[in-house]
Amino acid sequence: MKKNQDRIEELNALLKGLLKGKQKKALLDELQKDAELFDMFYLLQKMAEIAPNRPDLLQAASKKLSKTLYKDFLKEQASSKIQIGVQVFDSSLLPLPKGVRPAAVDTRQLKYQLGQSVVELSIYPVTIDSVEIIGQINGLKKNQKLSVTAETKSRTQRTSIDEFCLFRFERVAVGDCRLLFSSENIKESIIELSL
Amino acid sequence: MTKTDKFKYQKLIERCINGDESAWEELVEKITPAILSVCRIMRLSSDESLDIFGQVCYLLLQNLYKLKSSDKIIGYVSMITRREILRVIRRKQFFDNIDTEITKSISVTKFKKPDELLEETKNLESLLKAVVELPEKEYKLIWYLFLDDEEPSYEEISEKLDIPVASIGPTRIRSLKKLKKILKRKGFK
Repeated sequence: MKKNQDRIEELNALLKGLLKGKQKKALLDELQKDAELFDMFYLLQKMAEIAPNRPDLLQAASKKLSKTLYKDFLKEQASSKIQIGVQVFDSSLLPLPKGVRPAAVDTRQLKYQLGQSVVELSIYPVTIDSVEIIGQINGLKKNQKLSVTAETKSRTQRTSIDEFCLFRFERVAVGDCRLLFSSENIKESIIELSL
Repeated sequence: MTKTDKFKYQKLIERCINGDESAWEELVEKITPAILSVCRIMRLSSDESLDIFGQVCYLLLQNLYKLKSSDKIIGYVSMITRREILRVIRRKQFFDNIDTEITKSISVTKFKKPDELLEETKNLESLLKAVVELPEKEYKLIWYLFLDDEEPSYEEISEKLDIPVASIGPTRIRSLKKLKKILKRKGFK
């Protein structure tokens, strides 16, 4: 009998469904008789459960998100006067479902942690060089008033949140944009986005 | 885990706190399977999984200074992942209760019984904890062989770990045996 150390490739092949016919049957019979070999097979099976589905596009998206999140977090920690939004979600990082063309998915969802509040943004393309931004802030006190300013290179627009803590900018130029949240009794907050 | 390894993890956490991006990348590499595997078991969509991932990373960063060992990190990450997933499930149930055709078509994910899921995720958590308890070189080998999404070749692994290709097989079996020992000690089922 071969030693277990020579069998990992074979066990992996069985796990991946690559063994067929006699070869598969022989190994399955052996697994029933050899407890040590079975233990190794079980461990490899469990490792496969925690392993990503290769190539794991979600893992790639997570890596990218974690980098932005960390940079935002450090900025937030370093800033004492202004609260800086930390990006915790960006749908544009996600892989598209099989068969879906990029042009068919045009809405982008973003989520930022802003202190105790969470800001969710939906970005819809309007023209080739402008987008609509609809946002909602969760975690505000009841009836809290808040004004929101969208600053781009060319224009500054201002609005206020409604009773559902929603706000909307109909047309914002693509490129770098800064959303400023201000109120009488809370720290001024900023979200920096690239549209 | 050896004292040297524990010291390395403490250093890694300190580097993260002090703004070292490469340390954060290393830490993210260690915690990602703990988050995404639980999301996969719970059959969350890609959107939901990335949402959970972001929340967990944010909470981890906020509490990093309290965590001084890798064992605690995996435990903490798994715990908050489960908590955040429950939040998503509750939100789904809320939509399920609004009985309209539209919401029915949105909430298509079906879940296993909570106790079954808990058992499954706790078992995987033990496995991940055991993997990070391996000595650094063996941990890295197991990572490249089983958990790295880029699936490096033996030649690439040999270069990354500075070991001959011929020694990958024997080191792999030694590492897996060590892993089995750790798991046995932890009462892994």
